[in-house]
Amino acid sequence: MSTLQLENVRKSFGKAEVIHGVDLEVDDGEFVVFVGPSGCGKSTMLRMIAGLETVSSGQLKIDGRVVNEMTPGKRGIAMVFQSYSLYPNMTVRQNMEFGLQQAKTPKPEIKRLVDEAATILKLHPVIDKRPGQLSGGQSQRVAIGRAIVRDPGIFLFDEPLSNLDAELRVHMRVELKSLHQRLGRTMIYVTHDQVEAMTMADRIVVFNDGVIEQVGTPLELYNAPANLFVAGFIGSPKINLLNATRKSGDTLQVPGGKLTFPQLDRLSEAGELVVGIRPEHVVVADAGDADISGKVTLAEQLGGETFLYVEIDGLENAMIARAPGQIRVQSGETVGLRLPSDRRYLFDPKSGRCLNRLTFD
Amino acid sequence: MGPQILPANATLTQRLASAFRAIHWRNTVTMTILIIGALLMLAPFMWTFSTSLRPPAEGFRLPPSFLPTEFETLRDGPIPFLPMYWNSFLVAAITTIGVVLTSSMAAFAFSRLRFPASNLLFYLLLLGLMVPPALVLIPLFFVMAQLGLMDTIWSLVLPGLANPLAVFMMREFMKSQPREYEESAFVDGASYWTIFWRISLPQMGPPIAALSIIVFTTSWNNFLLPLVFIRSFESMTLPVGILSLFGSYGPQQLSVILAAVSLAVLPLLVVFLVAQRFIVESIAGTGVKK
Repeated sequence: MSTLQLENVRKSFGKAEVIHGVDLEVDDGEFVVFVGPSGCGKSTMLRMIAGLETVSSGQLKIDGRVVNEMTPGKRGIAMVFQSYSLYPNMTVRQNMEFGLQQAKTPKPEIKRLVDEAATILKLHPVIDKRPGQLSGGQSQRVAIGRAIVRDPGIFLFDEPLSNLDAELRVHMRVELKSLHQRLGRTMIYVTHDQVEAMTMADRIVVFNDGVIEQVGTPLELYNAPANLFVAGFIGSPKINLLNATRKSGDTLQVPGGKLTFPQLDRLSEAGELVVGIRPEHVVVADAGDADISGKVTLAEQLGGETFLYVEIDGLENAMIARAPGQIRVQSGETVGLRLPSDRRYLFDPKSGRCLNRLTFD
Repeated sequence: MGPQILPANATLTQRLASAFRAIHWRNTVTMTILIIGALLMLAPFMWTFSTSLRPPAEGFRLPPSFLPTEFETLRDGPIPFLPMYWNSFLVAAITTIGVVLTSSMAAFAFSRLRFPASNLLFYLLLLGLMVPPALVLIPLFFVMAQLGLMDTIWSLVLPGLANPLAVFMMREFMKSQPREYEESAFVDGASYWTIFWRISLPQMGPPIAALSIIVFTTSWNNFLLPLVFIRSFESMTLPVGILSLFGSYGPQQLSVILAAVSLAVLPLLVVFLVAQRFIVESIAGTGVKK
């Protein structure tokens, strides 16, 4: 059982600073997901926690102890790598035994712990095989098993599912989540896949360009994104963003129409703003009831739902609307879209900050 | 055409015809040509080998005999051929093991550890490749004399242990090993030595096999060092020993000398065959998802 504190942690490679002062507290038993685009610093942060990268400045504490200078083996952590990183010259059993042997665990105890982990992860049929003989899913389970047997305070996962196919990824996601519930250990998980982050995390930490943009539960991030980046990163398909120009009173001119924004003056005095609305909140409506209208360029009919890609004059990217699954809309058809006022976000284009807060009940 | 499923009551003729059709004729023709080619390549060597083991008068006898008759002459002659054989084996084996160990350790350090001037040191080591062995012969002679190792097999083993080419070769292979293994082992609490010994080195099968062949062959064939450092038959190795055989038997008994030469080649063949097996085995499987 372990906690983790990051206090103004920075990392530089030569003169280039890649982590610009990160503060974070992870509670005991929490499942925290670091998410962000490639190169945002999330993996570097994880490697610093593991001790595989040095901390340039700031303090990294595990259970209240500063571990900046501590070797990885003494930090009480275990890590699962994206590439599995199973030792190819050892069998599955030997791979799992390796860490325990380094800790000078007695042989009978090693055997018991490995057997126990193999049972949890259903690895007994492959226990004497070598990594080269395993499937992707089996390899990933062995990598997790190797971490489990050491009974670490903190588990670190570096994009562990990204090499698996879509079906297996969903399966392993469920297995990992149930493993967390079973073990109750602190887990830090790095991914660039926001669906993984949303489905697995107790809390999500959104990284961008070496800084934390926002920390919160999946729903907090979805409902109340702190800025344009988080709003754009969380949610699938991505949020629709429309450049808006202030007209008289509470009215905003957006591509394809006008929107009234209640109490706009209280939110911002800027002339240029950005309106955001998630595809699932856009409503396909009759012309009289619609805020904006445009031509459908693509209709993705998935049965349970339909995603309409609507081209709006003056809007760079097509607007995405989630419509009922059985809707009959053809490409090239003009549709009206209503953007409910209680589902619209307003952003300051300069700072990117979200100016309003929506309530979802 | 794929194999046919025959009814249970098919006649023998039908079964034979079916088996005949199932043979992959294109492969068979290729294999036959290859076997004939291999035999053509092997035949002259076999003839030479055979000739070397018979009296000169029977050198061109047809059909050739492949049964050696000159072993006893060699064994019971004035020159201690078998002890020389053993010396050569000892020198080559110890040098090979030593070079594999020292070069792989140095390669691990150069490829994995961060220490000041590591690149400079490596390039200095590579400079050693440019120095001809004959150039260091006299300094080596004095060093061996000072150490009291003259006329011992250690005077042949020790100079070969620092091998820049081997370090270069092993370093290049080690650099290609994924860093994740090392990092994973670090997280598991392993020391550098454990990572080297239990993770890095066992994956070096192919380069170790290749290096072993090179070092064993070079050491086995080494003529210059034993010629200078070794005087007595007790410590002599084969290349100089065979020269002594020539002095003892002369051209009249060329077959005895050729018998010795043929025998001298055998261990190299064995080393190659054994190492080749390891090369194939070592290629199997990797733990890092590509």
